[in-house]
Amino acid sequence: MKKILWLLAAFTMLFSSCVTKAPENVVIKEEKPKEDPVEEVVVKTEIIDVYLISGETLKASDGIIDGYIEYKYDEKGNLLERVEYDGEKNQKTRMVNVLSGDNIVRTQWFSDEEETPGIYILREYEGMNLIKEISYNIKDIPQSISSYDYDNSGNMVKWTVSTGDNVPMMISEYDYSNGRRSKAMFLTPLGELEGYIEYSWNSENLESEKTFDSDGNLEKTVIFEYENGKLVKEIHYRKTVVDYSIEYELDENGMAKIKKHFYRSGNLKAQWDYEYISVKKEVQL
Amino acid sequence: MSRMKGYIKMRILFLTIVLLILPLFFLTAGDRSEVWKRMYNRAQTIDQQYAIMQNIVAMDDPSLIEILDSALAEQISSLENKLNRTERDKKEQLMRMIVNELSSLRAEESAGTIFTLFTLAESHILKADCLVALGQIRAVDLVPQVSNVLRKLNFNTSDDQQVAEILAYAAITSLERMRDIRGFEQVFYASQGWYSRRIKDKASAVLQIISEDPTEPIMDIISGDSNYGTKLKALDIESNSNALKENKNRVALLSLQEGLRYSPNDKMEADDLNKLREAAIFALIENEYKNSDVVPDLKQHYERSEDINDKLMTIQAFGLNGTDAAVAWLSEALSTYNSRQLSGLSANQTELIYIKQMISSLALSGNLNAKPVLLEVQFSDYTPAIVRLSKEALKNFD
Repeated sequence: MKKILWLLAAFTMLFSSCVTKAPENVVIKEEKPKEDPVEEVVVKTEIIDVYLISGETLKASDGIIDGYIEYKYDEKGNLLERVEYDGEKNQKTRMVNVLSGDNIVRTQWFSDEEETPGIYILREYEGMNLIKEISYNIKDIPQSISSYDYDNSGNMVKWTVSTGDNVPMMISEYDYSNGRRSKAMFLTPLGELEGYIEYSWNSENLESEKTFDSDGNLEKTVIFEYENGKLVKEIHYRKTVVDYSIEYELDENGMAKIKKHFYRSGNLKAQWDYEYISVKKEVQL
Repeated sequence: MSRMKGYIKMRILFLTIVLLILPLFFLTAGDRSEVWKRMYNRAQTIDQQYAIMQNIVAMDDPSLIEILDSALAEQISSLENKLNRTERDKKEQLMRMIVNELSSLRAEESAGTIFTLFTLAESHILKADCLVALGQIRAVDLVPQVSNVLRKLNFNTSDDQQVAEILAYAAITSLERMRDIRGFEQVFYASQGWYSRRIKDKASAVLQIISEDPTEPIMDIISGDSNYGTKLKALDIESNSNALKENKNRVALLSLQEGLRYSPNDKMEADDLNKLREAAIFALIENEYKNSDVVPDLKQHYERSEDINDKLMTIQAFGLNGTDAAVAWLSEALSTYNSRQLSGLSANQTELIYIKQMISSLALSGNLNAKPVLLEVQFSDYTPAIVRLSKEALKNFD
């Protein structure tokens, strides 16, 4: 079960931190109420295989390779670097993670100009929870600050985005039902509702995500489809009309080996081929 | 103590999990997109827009194409605004970031916006990004426009050649991605143009990618360009392409006719025209052209040519052509030598080489009309070696 969880975690990382949108079933499943970490004492561990994406190849529908992404990890499998290249292997973007005490400093470059990173993000944690993200520009001036609040079960219930000088600009509040996120609401600093997302679930997985404006008018919908509990398809609607869809082909480990993005017409737009490495990971029993 | 060890272990594990997952599954992409989209709409300054756009770009979310497109359109509409240098640089960075993200997301619907930015932008780096992005998103409707950009650059009228090379490279890359035959001609001229070796090599490589069968644009170049060297280069590209033999022969025939049409003004032009004709005939042989329409041109070339090897190749082309018209010309030419030989005017060494090639070509033709003249050779007072060659040739018709 834990192996599966790790696979899911790696899968989550693949689709949420890299080029793609996260398969929502995996993402949301991780947000079940967590045990209080202080009371949970680990006395035994075991070694498991964790699959980590090591490379992506992006192909257009005509088969031309349009880009590559390479990932580097430390010996524990922590993501250290992600570099995106164009079809001719020229660097396009780069992201580096550095552990600094209990915090993580993520540096991102949005062009091939190595000496001028576009953004630094400092992430601060408290226990298991991310509590603050501060984005700095190249002059170390804060550009935006995100702060997060949690309930007693460790579920995030509020996300506040503020300007660099800490003036709130946007607040998101989250509701949960049976330990699963059921609603996200987007509010102005004065508390006015701007829109919301409703999540619906089957017994195991997220089935749909519907976004509404402040008057309750449907703006967009994402429908998720599964096979044997694994996400294999997303259909994205703009209001009620299909906008595009994404299909996943899984390997024997349940990892996505190919992702295909289709136009609303059903014609292939682009395809991502994935490669993985496996690392040994120590986890608690 | 054991509780402490357990806590430490858990702490290590936690950090690992944090690095791997927590920042990633923390929020779904859907709500992050919604938040950053709304944040961008509220941003007041370029700095704020830039900071928020970095978060938007980091998500690579196709559902954000609309907001990216409108953000770019908004930046375009304010291009005329007075900005200080810092703001201008930031605005350029912001636009580059948006263009590159639309490119990554293959936002076809944004092609028009990106091309508008190309036409209005001052920064050549931003312009180059726009061109590459148009290729990346396969904006094939804009092939004529991108080709025209490259056409102007090919004329080398820019004050800044370095900038022109950057833009040319981007335009070539764009047309490479679009793989549209309409882009072929200007990429061809770039490969022959004033640019540095790097750009020309890139253009040459791209020619083969744009189309496996470039016959139509090659025909346009050969018939439309006044430079004989350019015609020859076009013929070479067609010959080395994966075009059908039938199409390669169309190009070769046109090239031969072009090579015969003009009168050279000097030795260099004469050499260029002769090279064009030679290459055309070589292509016709290689692709086994068997239509009689080429015979008058082969005859004209044979008469103009002064080079032994060139004449021999032409005789070979007649034989390989094998039509009644081609065999008639070979028969007539060989018969003339036969008559001279009989009348006591022995062929010199060069003429003997031509006679041997004519006999071989008549055999190669497989056309029964070749038999009479080959029989005639045996009674024309040639050396035994020539007679033997003629007898060998006749065996092809047994």
